[in-house]
Amino acid sequence: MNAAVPMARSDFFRVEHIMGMPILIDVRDSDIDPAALDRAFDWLRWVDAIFSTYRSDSEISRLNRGELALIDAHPDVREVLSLCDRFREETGGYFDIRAPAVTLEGRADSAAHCSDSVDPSGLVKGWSVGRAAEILDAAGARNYSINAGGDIIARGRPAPDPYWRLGIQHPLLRDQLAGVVAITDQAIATSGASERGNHIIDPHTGLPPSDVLSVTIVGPDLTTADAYATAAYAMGKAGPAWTARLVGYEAMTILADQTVLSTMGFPSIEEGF
Amino acid sequence: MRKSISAALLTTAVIVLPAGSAFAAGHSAAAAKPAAKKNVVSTRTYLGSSVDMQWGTVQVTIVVKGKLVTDLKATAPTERARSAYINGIAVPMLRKEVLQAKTVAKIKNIYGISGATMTSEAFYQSLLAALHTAHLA
Repeated sequence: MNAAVPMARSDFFRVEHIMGMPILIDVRDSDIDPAALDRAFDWLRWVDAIFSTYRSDSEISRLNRGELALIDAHPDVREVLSLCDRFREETGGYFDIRAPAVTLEGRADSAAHCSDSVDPSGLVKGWSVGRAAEILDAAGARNYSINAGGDIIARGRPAPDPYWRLGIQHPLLRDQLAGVVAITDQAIATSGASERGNHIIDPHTGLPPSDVLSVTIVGPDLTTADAYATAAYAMGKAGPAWTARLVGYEAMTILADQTVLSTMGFPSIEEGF
Repeated sequence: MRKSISAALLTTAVIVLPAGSAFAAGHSAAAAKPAAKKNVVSTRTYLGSSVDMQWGTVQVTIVVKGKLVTDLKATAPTERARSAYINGIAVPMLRKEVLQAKTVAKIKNIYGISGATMTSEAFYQSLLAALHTAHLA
């Protein structure tokens, strides 16, 4: 056994379990106040308390039970719901927080489809991480990454590396990667069936797409990347063509036949990079 | 003859219009302007017939000044056809590969994994990131 080696610099690297997933903040600037990480995590815990559909006292749960009127909801709740509307329109209805629940038989639950229940969790994740990044920015951080259950904001670089090298989860093999990207000042989000069962469906059919395994989007804003990844995944075979038309966002789609379709600007690197 | 408006013409926007071609002859056209005086170069607008393409129906309008085409517009009558037309040119812009599996441990300095939300994977990537932060991996 060797002598004890120094572990991670805990002041600037932290993992907490919030919103049902581990959230990592990894700050590479040593000249910032470590309390900024506390503030970022405080913010994320507050978001969980307000937006969680698993908490009966959250504003979203109260909205869904009709106990809270939208006009009385917190401005952040209204902001998130209006963002959801924006993305539903922008994606031709494929990003829809009112999408019906899928039954065990894989059919759309028509009763759920008729209800006004909303679950903005899919958007809240990226949006709240974006705000957490602003908290770090305000504290003077310039080189950091925030990873919320696989949706990542990567600012600056992890010196001496010029880029943040990030893997893309292989959709079929849990312990493997399907690709690697090198990014700086960008966000990355992946949607697919490999996580937590098949939770994304095509809102138009009520069924999960069968011909796509995962969609990864890279671009300046995590909320947008996340919404686009969800929508493109729900589009199934039509997704890659839709991603080819996005402005400022690059995409990699893995089809069920294991074909990988990437837009020309997708920042893939080879293993030896 | 009108069927000869090729897909290449529409997608590349390279317009080659030999004198005396179907368009210049104007036999298909609704002439927009009456014939001008003899010594003035006339400008005419010609509307091509609707042509069925793989992405839908497309109609071409050209503006001819003398023997020169000064403008060309390809319009698709429906949004669906327009969208399919754009898809027709967008899809070839995608890079196509075969899915490969890469072992995480064999790749230098991975700071995170997009799409890994499962606890076990997240734990692994968290550990990996911690090791990198500590400059151990």
